[in-house]
Amino acid sequence: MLDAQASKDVVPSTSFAPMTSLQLLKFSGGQVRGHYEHISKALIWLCWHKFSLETLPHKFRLDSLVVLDMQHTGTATSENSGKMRPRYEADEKSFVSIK
Amino acid sequence: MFLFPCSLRFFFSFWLRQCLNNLKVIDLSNSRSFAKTPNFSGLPSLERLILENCASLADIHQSVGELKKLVFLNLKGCWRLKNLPESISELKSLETMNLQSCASLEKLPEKLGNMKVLTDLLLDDTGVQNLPSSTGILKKLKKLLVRGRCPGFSLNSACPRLPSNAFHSKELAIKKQPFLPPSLSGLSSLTTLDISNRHLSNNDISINLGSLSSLQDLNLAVNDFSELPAGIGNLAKLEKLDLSWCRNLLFISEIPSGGTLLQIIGKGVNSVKNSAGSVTG
Repeated sequence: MLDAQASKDVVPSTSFAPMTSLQLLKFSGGQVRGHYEHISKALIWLCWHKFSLETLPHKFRLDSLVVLDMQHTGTATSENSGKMRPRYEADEKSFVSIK
Repeated sequence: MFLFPCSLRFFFSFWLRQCLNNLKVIDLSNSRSFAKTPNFSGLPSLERLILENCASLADIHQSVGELKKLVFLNLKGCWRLKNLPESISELKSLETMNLQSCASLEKLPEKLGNMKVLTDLLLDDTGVQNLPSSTGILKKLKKLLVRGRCPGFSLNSACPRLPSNAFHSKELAIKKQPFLPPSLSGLSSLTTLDISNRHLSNNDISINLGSLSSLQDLNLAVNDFSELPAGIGNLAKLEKLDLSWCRNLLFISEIPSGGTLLQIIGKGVNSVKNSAGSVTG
């Protein structure tokens, strides 16, 4: 598991190369620079909030993925410009059993 | 790194070009940049689709009906959504459909009754003007919430105030179809029914509710009818009946005789009388 929740930085994709068994990746904002093929193909849970619009996950293999949690996709820009964030209610949305 | 103009069509393309046979959950809540969903064909295992507060979303791709394992669909607060594809009624595994605060949504699919295992149908604060007749055959349905929209109040603060259906209902009183379908007799599992704040007339509710044998909570507050729907006296499990602000209601002809009724709420109702005596709020 890699939790980079506070990351505002650009992470080079090559830094993922040694993490061949990575199953849970959690980002909030941030960017990965380079080819996404370096990210583990064993990824089961991708939690990447505030994913920026302009960056397409090129060669991002998600064959094993069970949960795609990408809330606030494309909203990072407007937040940075000081606009109000939409209200978010956490209800029963966040649980799932992975078999 | 590839750079694309601001369109989530490109974002979605990554799931269209690879095999996502294991994917069970998609949560793109609060993503405001996409107006359409992509084709859902390549997602055979999807169980939960959460697109809450996607404020630009106006179109759900008809392939949504192919999600045979989908159990939970949340489109709450997608206030630009005007229509649902008819194919949505092919979701045979769907248990919860949340469309609350879809303020532009005025019509539900006619074949809604095909969703055989639907337990929660949440339609508060939408523009829905009437329930399709097939609603009445949803045997597993436990919760049917269709509270009308209050001017100045929204479940979703991000949603702008569109004209309330309260005004529509008065303008269209002569032409419009009754709010409730001709029969709800198949809803034998229903425990909660909320049709409050809709300014419903006698014509809108002129059906017999006596067959709702599991009903515990019935909210009829803020409506314009002068008579209660027939059959309320047969609701043996009823625990709570809310008649607040039903200002035209002067007489209750029947109350449940089962003895479980704990509470009748009648705020704003002028001295309602029933056959056994007076009921106060």
